[in-house]
Amino acid sequence: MKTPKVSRLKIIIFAMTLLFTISLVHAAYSELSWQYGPKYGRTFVGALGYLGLSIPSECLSSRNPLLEPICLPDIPGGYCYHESCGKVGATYLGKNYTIEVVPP
Amino acid sequence: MKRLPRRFQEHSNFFEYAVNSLFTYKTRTIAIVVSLTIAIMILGSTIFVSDGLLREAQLSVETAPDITVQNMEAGRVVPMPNAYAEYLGRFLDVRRIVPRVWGYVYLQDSIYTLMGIDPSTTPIAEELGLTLESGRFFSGNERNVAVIGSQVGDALNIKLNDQVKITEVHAVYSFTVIGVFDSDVSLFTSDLILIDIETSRDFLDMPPDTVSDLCIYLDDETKIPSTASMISQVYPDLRVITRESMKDAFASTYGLRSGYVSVLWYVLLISVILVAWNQASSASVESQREVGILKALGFSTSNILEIRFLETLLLGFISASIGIFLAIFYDLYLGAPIIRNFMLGWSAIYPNFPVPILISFGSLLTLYAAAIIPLLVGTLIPAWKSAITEPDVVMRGS
Repeated sequence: MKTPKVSRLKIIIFAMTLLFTISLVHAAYSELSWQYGPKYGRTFVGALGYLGLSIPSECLSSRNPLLEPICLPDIPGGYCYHESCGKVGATYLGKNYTIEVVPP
Repeated sequence: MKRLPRRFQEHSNFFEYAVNSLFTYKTRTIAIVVSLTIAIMILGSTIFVSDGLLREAQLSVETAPDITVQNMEAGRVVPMPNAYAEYLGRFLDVRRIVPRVWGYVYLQDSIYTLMGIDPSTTPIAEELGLTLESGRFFSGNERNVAVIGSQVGDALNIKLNDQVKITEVHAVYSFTVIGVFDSDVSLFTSDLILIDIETSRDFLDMPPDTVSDLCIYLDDETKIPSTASMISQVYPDLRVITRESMKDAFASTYGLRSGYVSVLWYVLLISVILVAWNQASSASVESQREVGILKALGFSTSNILEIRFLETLLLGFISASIGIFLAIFYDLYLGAPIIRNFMLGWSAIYPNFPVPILISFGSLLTLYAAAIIPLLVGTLIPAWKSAITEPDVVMRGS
């Protein structure tokens, strides 16, 4: 029995439509879940004031309640102790704390 | 079955011809699709994470204080007397002014954010308690107690009800951990140690009755610009930050202009142009012969251009579709490995929480455009040059 031949055009169109639809569905789901999902950030910033996200960003606006530049302007010479800029500045931090944890 | 109109049939045939061309020039098609797919996948997965961070930041700003003021000295933020709250309260029409103390603690090769608040003046303090994984939030009269982020607990091996002693040269500070924030809020709390405002002043060596900044909440939001301007005029030494300016700061920090994403944009643009250039030059000899034959069969220059245009459009669309699909899979189902290491983590802490991902319709459109438009631009002139080839020139091989 002869197998019916599916044209390349149909295969390409089907595959592209499928991938495009998957992307659209994900986008719709993502937009809706952002719109109606829990917004924890609101609670925090509403209660505590501005808080940067605890992620590194560009040096001049790193983790800081007000995205204040903490790298270059803090230390003469401009060494930076941000992870992505190397650890040169760590020795200039001054105060060193030690921690001891005592279980109850 | 009803026949399609002749014009439509013609374009449909050109489209089919363009599809077949992709299979005819297999090496070229594979080279372009693979390289462009990888580029779009990397760019897409980064944009989805970047958009997620930006949206999270923007949502959080909506409930932020209307105005925040800081004391500046020699261009740096310095502690400000708490009396400023009283001065500002006298001449401004404010709902409340909330003092805040914050700073950094360097512990075991990592930097942690230490923040002191007064729960009796903090707005919606009771809602903070809802974001705790275990324990409770402290009340206004409690001292030497702390609520920590779950990542702080993991990094420093601190558990609920543990007593923590932090020693520095001059003093020993001791506090009991009475609450741990839920890992769902790690994006805000992964390096956060929250203590009462009095203890935080001692801890950060700040003079009594000073604060790091003041959060001002107004009764009428429309008065933010005029109030900010008034504060600046009366106290020119204060830095006045409005909610709107924070939105702009977040946009430039986490948005498309942020470092990683903008670098990726440049890399992608250059790679697409190179790919398009390569495609146009390598296929030109073969395609000129093909064009000569097509023209001898009756195809016009505009027909050839349409076929070339459809070929490029298909290549861009296929690459973008596969690239976007892989980016979604990589971010949503694999948790964006590698990229998350770039986007998450402060100092030496690399928090282990899911990255916020936003797949917006705008991003999809941008990615398709990023794949298709440079390809079209790169192939426009070579396609035109090949389309205007005269058939007899090609037949003679001159």
